[in-house]
Amino acid sequence: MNENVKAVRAYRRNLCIALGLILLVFVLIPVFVKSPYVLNVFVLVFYMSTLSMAWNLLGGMTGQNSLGHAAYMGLGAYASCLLITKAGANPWLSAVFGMVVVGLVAGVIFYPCFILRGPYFTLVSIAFGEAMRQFIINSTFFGRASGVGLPFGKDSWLDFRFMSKVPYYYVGLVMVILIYLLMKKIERSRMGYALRTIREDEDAAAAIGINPTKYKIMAVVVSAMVAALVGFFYASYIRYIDPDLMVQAKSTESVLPAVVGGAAYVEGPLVGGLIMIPLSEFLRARFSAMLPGINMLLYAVALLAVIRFRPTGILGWYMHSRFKRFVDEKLLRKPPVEVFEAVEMEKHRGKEA
Amino acid sequence: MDKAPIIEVKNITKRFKGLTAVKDVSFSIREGGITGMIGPNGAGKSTTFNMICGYYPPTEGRIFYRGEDITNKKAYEYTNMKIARTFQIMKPLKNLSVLENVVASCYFGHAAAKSEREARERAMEVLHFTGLYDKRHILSKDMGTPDQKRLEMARALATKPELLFLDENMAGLNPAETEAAIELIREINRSGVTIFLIEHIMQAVVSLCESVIVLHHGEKIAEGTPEQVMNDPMVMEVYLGTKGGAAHA
Amino acid sequence: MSIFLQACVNGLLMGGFYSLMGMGQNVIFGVMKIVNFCHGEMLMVGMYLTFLLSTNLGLDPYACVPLVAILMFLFGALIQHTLITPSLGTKSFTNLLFLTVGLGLLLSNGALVLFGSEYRTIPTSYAQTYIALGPVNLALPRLISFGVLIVISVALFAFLKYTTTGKQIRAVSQNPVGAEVVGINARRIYILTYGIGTALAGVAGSLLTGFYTIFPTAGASFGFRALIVVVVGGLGSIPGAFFAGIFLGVLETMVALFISPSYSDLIVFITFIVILVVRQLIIIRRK
Repeated sequence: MNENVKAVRAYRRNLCIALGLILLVFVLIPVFVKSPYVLNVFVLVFYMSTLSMAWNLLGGMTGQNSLGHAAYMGLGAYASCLLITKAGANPWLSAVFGMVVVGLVAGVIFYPCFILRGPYFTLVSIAFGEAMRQFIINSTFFGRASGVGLPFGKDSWLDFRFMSKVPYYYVGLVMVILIYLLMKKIERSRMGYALRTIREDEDAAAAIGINPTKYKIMAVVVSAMVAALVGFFYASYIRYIDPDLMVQAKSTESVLPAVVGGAAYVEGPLVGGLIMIPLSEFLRARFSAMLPGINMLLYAVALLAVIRFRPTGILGWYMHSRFKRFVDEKLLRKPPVEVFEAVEMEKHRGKEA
Repeated sequence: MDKAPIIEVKNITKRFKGLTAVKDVSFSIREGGITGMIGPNGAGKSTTFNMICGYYPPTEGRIFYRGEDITNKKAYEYTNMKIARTFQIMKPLKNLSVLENVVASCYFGHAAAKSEREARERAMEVLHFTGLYDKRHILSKDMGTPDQKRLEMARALATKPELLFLDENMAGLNPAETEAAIELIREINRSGVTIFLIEHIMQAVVSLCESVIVLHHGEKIAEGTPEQVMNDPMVMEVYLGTKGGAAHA
Repeated sequence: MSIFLQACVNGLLMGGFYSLMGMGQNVIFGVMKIVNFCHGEMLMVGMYLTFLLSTNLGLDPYACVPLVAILMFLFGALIQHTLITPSLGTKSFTNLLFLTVGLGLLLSNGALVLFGSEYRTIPTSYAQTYIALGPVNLALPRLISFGVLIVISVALFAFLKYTTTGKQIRAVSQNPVGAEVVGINARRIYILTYGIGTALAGVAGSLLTGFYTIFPTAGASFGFRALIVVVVGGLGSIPGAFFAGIFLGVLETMVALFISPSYSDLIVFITFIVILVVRQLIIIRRK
């Protein structure tokens, strides 16, 4: 066994330990933290980060800036809630139903918008969100402005209904992790390369054989489906939804974690969410009684400051920082890139032999 | 000419809102060779090139590839037909590393890689071939013009084309860099890739091409070997100038 | 019939505001190719500025208009200089987009912090004065506002078309590099443009105060309608924006009249999506 292989294995082991520790902390939080308020903030972090990851697939990876993700989330919430209340369906099944419906709607609506370039997609995404909200406000079937409530009752996994926040915490955590793994998988797949090529230059994408429209539709459908999943989670957690869920400001909020964390990275929304959402909640709890709006004001200041002074977000800064070098070299003992490549080549040769 | 031509362009015309950019141009490209197209600025070279690449269709006329009519094929269908192109104004994927730029290409076209490993391995081969291997971890926006031009070719080659279109691949290079680029193009051609190129630099056209097409005001005014074309009185007059274009050559 | 005419006129008078907002948005988009997502909030700032000036200095709302225009111009120029120009360099449209979105958030929540969420109005002696024009009754404040709007629109058009600065703005919007080559300072034009765009939104806000309530999110619906106007009238086209604004205003009142007022937003957004999609399909056909 040569030195390089050993170094790479050691690094992988260290990385697994580090990630395992972080995960362990999150798993243990509800064991030690009993405050429903704090748990609520964590649940909020989980689903907002997931929503932001959904946005980031389109905005960060594909370069298509949506400002309508609250609408997909709201639509997903409505679709699954109505199936539960009107047809008595199982919540888990109706989650799937909501995702499929929203995916289809998004695909059909945005197909024509993707044919031309420019800011049209952003504009239509806003119009789509507002139109959906207005439609729901005017529709008796959707419960108009008063919204839809989910039935209360005994705690049950089958009905995804609990008094305590702890089960929601764990389901939320699983959701974040699964969606993160999905996004990571997409990033490294053919689709991920296609989306990033489209983001950089659509002509260049077409020149190597990427059909830009097809991949943009794929991205918008996946993104909308994840948003719909978040909508289902939200509805099950709060147990009541109304059209305010879909207001423009909510769409903006879903973007902030990604932009602040670093939209170019799959991890960006997670980092941004973990920082921005507790901050916002703290500000809301602390100040909103005295000065309504102050939390969003400071939120906006944070956003502007990041864009102005750290345009690549927190992760963009971290990736080139001395701190990262310290973490990589001292804590994880990451070998240089050449070592990884040497190991890869060796494996390749081993297979051929 | 023993074989049927790989590309046959028949009477293509392109009009943009009344302006005729290309008028009734016909020519063919021999398989296995290097064919060049020259002409002064505004002669319709790029328009012709873009029509053959499917960037926009001609107003009139047909384009055939190995006997098949490809006039209305979309730009993204070309790599599936084993045709690749580069851009005059380089379009590197700026925020991706050189390696990722090439890996992206390996995932598409007729020989699309099935797995990430396969894509990476093929990308490495292409990087070795084009001499970009040592720069594979640099962001492509941080490279100079010569390397970006090379990257353009690397990205095209990664789709494993049998026919490669090069759009002014040597514009903006100094003589030494041009020499290196010419060598690379020869190398690509020797590996069995048919090449069609647009070029401003006479030196490159003369030393590379076996056949040259000259455009002027959107019309083809001459075609033949570099010697024939250079000695064509019409070409001397409109393109090289009466003094023989010594400054350019 | 008279109800119909009345609705037409009301739509026309409201549409003038959408036109003015759309023109401001269009000037900014034309030059910098960015969509200004805080345009509606700029209108709201114009409203509060008018409110402050008229309550503290006792000025008539219409007398505040020139003052608001100047202040908003300076405000816009400051934002352009300190925030937008530096971010233009990063060439990241995502960042530029969220810069303006963040500004909008900052302004609307800033207003909430400073003024609270109460609805405010500026009382005037002529607020309830109506002028009868055949079967149609015209509210005096709306009429004055519309008159001022028309004057400003024409002035803007003439400014861009005939003055040297206007020509420079158009040059930068067509080709920023080419404009710099011939000696136009693009940065200065950017500052000027954003200032003008902001001033137009501020003036629209100021003119609205005669008959509209003032609250922190008052600009949102105008901001979005400005975007619709821009897209329907053609990105970068000033006359297009003018007519699209009028069209939108009339459409809204027609929907309110013939269907239901609660549907007017829905119909406006759907019309927008349909127009956009149909136009794109036509453009593709032509290609």
